[in-house]
Amino acid sequence: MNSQPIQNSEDNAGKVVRHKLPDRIYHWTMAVTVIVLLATAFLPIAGLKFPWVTIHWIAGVILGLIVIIHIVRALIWQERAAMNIGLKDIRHSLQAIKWVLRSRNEPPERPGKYPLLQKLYHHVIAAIVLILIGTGGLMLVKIDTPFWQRNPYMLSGETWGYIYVLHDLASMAVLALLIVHIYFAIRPEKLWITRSMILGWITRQEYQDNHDPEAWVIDADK
Amino acid sequence: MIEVELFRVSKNAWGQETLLGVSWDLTWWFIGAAVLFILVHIIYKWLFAPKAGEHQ
Repeated sequence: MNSQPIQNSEDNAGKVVRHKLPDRIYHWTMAVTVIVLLATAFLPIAGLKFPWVTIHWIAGVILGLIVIIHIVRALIWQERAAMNIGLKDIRHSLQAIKWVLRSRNEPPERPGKYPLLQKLYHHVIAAIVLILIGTGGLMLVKIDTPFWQRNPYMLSGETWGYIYVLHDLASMAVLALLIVHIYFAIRPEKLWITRSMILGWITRQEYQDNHDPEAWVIDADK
Repeated sequence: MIEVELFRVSKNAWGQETLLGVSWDLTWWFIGAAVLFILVHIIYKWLFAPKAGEHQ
């Protein structure tokens, strides 16, 4: 439920902090690792041959580590309620559908820090990335690294097959979701959100136009 | 009729099949789904989405 107002800070120039520096570093590190992982996975399949395995597993390990850091940070230091899906989100969605169908005169009520579709995207991509990290982590036993010798016989051939199926499907889903994510990031009406993921802030006007100040409370004293 | 192989398999010396993963051809279906979603959204925004202040 989104019953808890979300605290955040507003600086002296009227800018509202939407993404703090650690969250932006996490986002862009994840972006780089995911692009490297997709490139090293799919370019060799497309015919571009290069020694991809080492780059792929190192990028995968980095992705796993930053996801663990993000989960710890989200569970302990961040406002988890901001990402919860509640009845308010359902109500806003029904309002949005009615507005699109022209059976409602007013636009839907503004969301808190994150609208429903952003939350859904986050939860879906989080589940898929966790599948990739889990299956990819298991695959690490099949390669030699400076830390261990390969042991491809740890699991049966059939079990490895299922692990590969999960990893393949999840990687294709990430590719599709990344394309959609970039499309929304470069849409003109969404550029203020993209800027906030680069510079961290939105303007006071953008805050008032796009967010419910009661659901996402900014702390002007900070 | 388009036929899509769903899985990659290998056969050993005894003809037994071993699952290797999902067919790489499926990648294009995922990319196609993403592109289709984007096209539908562009058309929706262009033709159907309420403009700011339209109803007010």
